[in-house]
Amino acid sequence: MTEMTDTLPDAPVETAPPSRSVLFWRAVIVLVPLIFVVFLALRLSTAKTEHRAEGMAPALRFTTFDGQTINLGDLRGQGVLVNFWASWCDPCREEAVLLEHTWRREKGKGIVFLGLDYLDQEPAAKDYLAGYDITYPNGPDLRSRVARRYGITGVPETFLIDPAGKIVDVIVGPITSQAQIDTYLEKIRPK
Amino acid sequence: MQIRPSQFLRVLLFAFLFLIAAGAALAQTPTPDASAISADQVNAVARGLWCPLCSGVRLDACELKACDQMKEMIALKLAAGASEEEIRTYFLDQYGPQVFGEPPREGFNWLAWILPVLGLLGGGLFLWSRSRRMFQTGPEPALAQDDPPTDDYSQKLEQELSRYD
Repeated sequence: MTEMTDTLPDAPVETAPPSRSVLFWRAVIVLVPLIFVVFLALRLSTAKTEHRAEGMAPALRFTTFDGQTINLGDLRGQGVLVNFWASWCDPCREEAVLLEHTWRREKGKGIVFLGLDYLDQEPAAKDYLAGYDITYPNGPDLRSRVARRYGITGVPETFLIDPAGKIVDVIVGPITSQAQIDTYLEKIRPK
Repeated sequence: MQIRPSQFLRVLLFAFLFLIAAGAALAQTPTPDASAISADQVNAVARGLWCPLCSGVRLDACELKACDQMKEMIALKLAAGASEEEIRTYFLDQYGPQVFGEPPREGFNWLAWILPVLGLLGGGLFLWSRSRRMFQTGPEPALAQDDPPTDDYSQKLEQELSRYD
């Protein structure tokens, strides 16, 4: 049999040109995943810019655990430190005392501290605040709206906003020393 | 009858203590007893929710501290008489649609809802049109064995095959 196939010439294959419907479906099969990939790539590339370490701070409005409404826009002219935290977050506990201590020192001197509780439960959050005797305004970030707008990557994360409303720095992870937080606060202190 | 000052003070003290105790008893609001809720009851609700911090982990299978807190809240809500739907709504308000394990129906996320449907529809239509054409065409008529070969290739094939007869 092998001899026979060796001696035979290649059979001429006559193929009809693909019909319109086949061409259409081929185009659909190729184009749909292609469009999806392009959308995905665009989405991923814009997602990177969601971490707003620079530029004007996105709108921030929330209600504190004790019912006070906070609006970042109302705080223009003051430096603002926005700290994202959660009661289940152990590194957040490392900076809790330092933050509260610094807040008590800075209160009424042109710098405001705000705390946003991320993906947490209110009873646990309130226990956390009471445990560290935290007195600066704190509230739940319901549906993680602010966290998404600020593009946080986890907790703790702290945004420093100058009196003009511009984000001048972001601290990812816990603030470890008084010297560190003081250096950051100097960047947002009203002149 | 004359009341001595020491007796008067004693009565006053008792009255004061009684008022404090009564006030405290009245001020106490009944707190739901979460310990009366079994783990199975909690998990029955937790099974329909997803850990908001993990990717693809159901709440009942999650062992994070945050998930434990969520399960405690489920127990508290159940003890307070909340229905499963009310608990789901509560978590939706707290965490958003991600807690249901599905992408929010907004913006780019619509693609996740639309594309599978489009894919299924497209695939179904494609298969349907292909199968329809296949059945319409039917099998090709077989060549009669006595028909003489019509081209060079067939002639050569016949010659080669005749060598094996």
